[in-house]
Order: sequence, then C-alpha cells, then structure tokens
Amino acid sequence: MSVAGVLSGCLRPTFSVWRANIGRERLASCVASMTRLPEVTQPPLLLLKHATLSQQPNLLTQIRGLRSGPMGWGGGRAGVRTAAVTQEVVEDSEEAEKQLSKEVIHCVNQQVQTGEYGRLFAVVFLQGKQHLVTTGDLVVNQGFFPPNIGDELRLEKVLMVGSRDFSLYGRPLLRPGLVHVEARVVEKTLSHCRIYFRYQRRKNSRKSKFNRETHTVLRITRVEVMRPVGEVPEVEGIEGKIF
Amino acid sequence: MVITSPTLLARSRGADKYWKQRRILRLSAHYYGRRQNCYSIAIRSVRRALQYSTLHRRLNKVMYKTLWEGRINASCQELGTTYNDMYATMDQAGVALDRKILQNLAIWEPRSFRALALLTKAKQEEEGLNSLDGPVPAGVVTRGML
Repeated sequence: MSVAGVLSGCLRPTFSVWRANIGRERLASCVASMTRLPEVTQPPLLLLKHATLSQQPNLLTQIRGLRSGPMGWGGGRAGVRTAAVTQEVVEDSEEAEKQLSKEVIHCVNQQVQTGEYGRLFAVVFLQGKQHLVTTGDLVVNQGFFPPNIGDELRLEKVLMVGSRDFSLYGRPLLRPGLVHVEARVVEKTLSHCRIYFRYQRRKNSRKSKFNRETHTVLRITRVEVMRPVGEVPEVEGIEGKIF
Repeated sequence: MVITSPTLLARSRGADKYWKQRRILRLSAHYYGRRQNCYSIAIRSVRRALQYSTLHRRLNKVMYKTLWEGRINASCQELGTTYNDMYATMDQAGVALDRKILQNLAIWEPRSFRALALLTKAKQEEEGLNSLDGPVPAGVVTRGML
C-alpha cells in the first residue's frame, strides 16, 4: 500500500499498522487507532496580531484546533477539528504610544534641566571592565594606566545612567556628551603579593612565582546629565574633535 | 641566628634554614594545632594551600559568574522572566551590561532592573517568544524601535 493511497482523503474506518514501500524512505512508526475521525473541514485563517490586553484570546485554544496527528492517525489527512471562530479587534495604539513617549521624555527633560534628579549612578566602561559608579566612589584599575596622581579624567564610555525616577540605557553606549562622569587619580600602588605555586609530590618538581600588579585608584567626582534626552543635534560626531 | 665567631660558623648548618622555615611558618600562622608551629607538618599544609590558591584563581571567575547568574535569575523570576530569556533579549536589543552590573542593579537599583526586565519582556512579545505565558503588563512602549 503506497503513501499516495493513504492520503486520498476518503473516509474509511482506521486499520492497524500499515507499511509503505517507498524505496529507502523511512516512515515514523504508526499507532493503531480504533476511532473514526469526524468530517474534515478547513479551519478559518487566524490572524495572530498584537491585540490589546483585554481582547487577546488564549493562544492554546487557537492552536489546538490546528493540530493534525502524525502520519498514522486518520490516514495522514489534514484531519482537523473545527476551531472556535474568534474575531479580535486590533486597536491602533501608535498615537497613544507616541504621546506616552513624549510625556515621559518631557518629564525626564524637566528633571534634567532643573537638576532635580538627585544622586545619579552610571555604568562606565574602563579598561575592559564595567563599573557601577556614583559620586564619591573609588574605582581600582589593574594594569598599565598612564595618568598620574592628581590628573582629572572624563570617563566617556557610559553604558547606562540612572536616578530615582528614570534610567537611560545605551545601545550599547549612550550618546557622547549626554553624561559627564569625571574622576581624579588618587593613588598608584602595587597589589598584594600573589603566589603562583606549582608542586608535584615525590617528583622533585616545584616552581613558584611572586607577582604584584600595579593598581591605580580613581575617585569619581561627578556624574551629571548634560543634555536633554531625545535631542537630535544637527551635526553628529564633531564633539570634542579638533579640526 | 647571629654568627659572632668562627667556631659558631663551623658548627652552624647554614643561616638560610631558619629563614626558609620562617617564610613557611608565616603563611601557616592561622592554622590549627602543630601545623602552625612545626615546620615539617606545616610545610605539607602550606604547599597544598598554595597549590589550591594557584589553581582556583581560574575557578574564582567561574564561581562568581554562577553566583551572579543565580542572583539575576532570582530577580528575573520575581518579575516574570528568566535569566536566559532576559540576557538573550538584551543581546538582541543591543544593551551590553554584563552580569556583575546586572546583579548589582538587581540588588541596589531594583527600579532600574525592573524597567530593564519589563523592556525585555516587551521585546520578547514582539519577537514571538514565550507567547503562551500570557500578555505583557501594559506601560512598556517600544514603538518597534528595538
């Protein structure tokens, strides 16, 4: 019995396991079924668009009606049970979303302009590592770091800034010049002594290394939002550049 | 040991031994029992300790990563996502905060963390992930910009 005959779509009582001889193709094992499947009808096409919260139907009930069993059930036909016909009203929330964004950005910019945001924290990228800093914090930098004691630095790679009422996330960095995170080099020392010791018992094998890394300690002096959010400058990419 | 005369120099086994033992005993000062004061017992413990610290400097990083992931996962589950989903969605959205920072935000800046988690949930709904979990809480507006 070929597979083509199985897929003819005519109704007939189901039978026990059959094999199809389609050359080298392997069929999934079929399960004997004793039930008679109902009338086959095509389900209506369901639009799965974004709906508003109150009108969103349960996805499970929609999908249940669409499933057909494996090859053996019901002769491999597109045997579908009738799905419940549902209609959803998809509201166009574009205008409302735009309005909301505008309001939120306006509130944030008000706080920025008046300087009422309170204490700010920022996530700053420095020498391959990220640090969550606020004013007054100490940041320890390991390795080669040229600035000397007393130098004032501006940490320009800011990934995120936040206050009590808002957080700004960069993708991955915030716009240059939006946030000023300034630091001062406070101390240049060596770390504690790290002992690297390898030893194999009874093999007369032993080696040790004593290592101290250079540490530079920075004190964060300022975290401030300088520009309003959502502002698009006329020309980008010329800040801080000398022509 | 101070060698003040030739006779003492002839009799002494070498000035180094005392200081070599002292270097080991200084590291074992906080051990229990004879391991802190008797050299031949202390040397075994100290060697093992130094080997462990050398090898586990790498393990430290793995441990911290597991700890941070656990903490972020806990905070995510309070907000209705999981760590894996949130981190993958952050990657897609382009937010590059690492695990150390995320766990700090989860502990010390819960509002910011909550905002980020809900944002990732909204993005997941746009992508079509976890659609059987139910609708996303309102108030997150992405305007298709992520």
